[in-house]
Amino acid sequence: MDLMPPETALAMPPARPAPAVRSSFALDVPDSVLSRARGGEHAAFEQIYRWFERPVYTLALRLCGQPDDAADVLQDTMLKVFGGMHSFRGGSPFWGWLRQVAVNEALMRLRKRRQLDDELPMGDHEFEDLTPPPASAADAAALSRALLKLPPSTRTVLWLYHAEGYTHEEIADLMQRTPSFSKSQLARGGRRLRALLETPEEAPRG
Amino acid sequence: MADTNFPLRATPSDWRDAFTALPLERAPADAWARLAAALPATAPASKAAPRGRPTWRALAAAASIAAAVPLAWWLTTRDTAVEPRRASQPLVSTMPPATGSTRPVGATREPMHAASPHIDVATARPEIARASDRAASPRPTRRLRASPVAAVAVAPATAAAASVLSPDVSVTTNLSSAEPSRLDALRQESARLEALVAYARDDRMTSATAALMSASLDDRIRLIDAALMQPDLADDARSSLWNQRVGALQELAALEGTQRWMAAHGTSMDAVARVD
Repeated sequence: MDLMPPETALAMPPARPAPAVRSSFALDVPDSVLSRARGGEHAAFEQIYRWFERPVYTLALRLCGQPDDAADVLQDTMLKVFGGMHSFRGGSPFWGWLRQVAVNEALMRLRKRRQLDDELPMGDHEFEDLTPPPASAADAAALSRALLKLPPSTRTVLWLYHAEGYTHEEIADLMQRTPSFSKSQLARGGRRLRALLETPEEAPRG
Repeated sequence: MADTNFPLRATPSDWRDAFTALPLERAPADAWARLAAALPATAPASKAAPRGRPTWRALAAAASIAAAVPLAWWLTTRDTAVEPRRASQPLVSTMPPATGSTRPVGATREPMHAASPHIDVATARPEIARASDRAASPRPTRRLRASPVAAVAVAPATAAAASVLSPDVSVTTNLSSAEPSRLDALRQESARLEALVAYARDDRMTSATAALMSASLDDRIRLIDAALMQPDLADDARSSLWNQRVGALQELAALEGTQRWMAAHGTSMDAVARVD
């Protein structure tokens, strides 16, 4: 059930003042490289690919949870970017447009497998946990493992919100849900992540 | 996943800090090669490649290249160590043109000599014996200069691989001309070597020594990639980095190919290390 057709997936994000972004995608691509890539030059496109390969793959892996799926999302994303380069005319950062394509590809894959139906149960009056993460969150391997234990839908909300800086309204739009859903998954996901990190061997599954 | 690969950092102040501090994951080594094969051709002389994963023809061709790597590695260690070429030197491609010619590219290659009788490329991998038979005879009579890929010895197979893995390959014979063509050739060579590494690499049969060497080369390539990400990189610096990348991939391809060959013969680099 792809509610976002390919044409929309390539649509430019609206230009707006952006806050300080710490996304791994936030790379300024020189106009000269973009021009050459728009002209179909493979060498220029490869340069763009090299810059964004790991951010795209990492995003896909965080959302999809499987290396094979992440590799496919990387491939599909880059193919769409290459095919849509001619329509990119600036006005907003190239990296934002590329990231949007990657997010859409990852979500489409999750949607096709009905994995976005897997989420933490929503409750009433969800409050976001604003206390600092446990010390074990500094252990990248432990944090990565804990993230993988979350349901795909919850993990997606957490990653898009915290790592990529999407708002609840943007996440709701991407996932065809409501902002309340996003806030709820963020709150419950944060608590669940904390529990997994504080007691990694004893945290209950699901 | 070894926790030692992820050193502890200061406790993050919030989840945003924790998430953004996670290291970027590494994509599969053959990711670019797969993508390049699926991209529509832009050059008039190139042929369109099918989308999706490489075909059996590409796999067979790449397997024959991997079988030739131990020979090339032996030749390399007999000769001087593999060095990335300086930007001022003309590039000598290790792959013949996609048209299938066996004529080596570039005017600075030294003549090749016959392959070592100790390494029988044709029998090391029975499944690619058909592809390598033509390449194994007649024996080359000129000396290969410091290249881990014995391209001339398996010229027909490598030509097939070059045409499938990089459908728009256009390796020029006069590489001392324009800078962009040399840079393009370096990138194409890099893509081919990545595919070779991907096919030759098998973590199920690696020795500790080889794993250490492989990881070291992977780290070197990552550092080079990080340097290439700088948007204001000068042309000569970019060329130098791509040269270094190709050199590192050549070493890695030789290492992984040798690993596979030694595993097929019941030996390992650890055994070799203990002998002496």
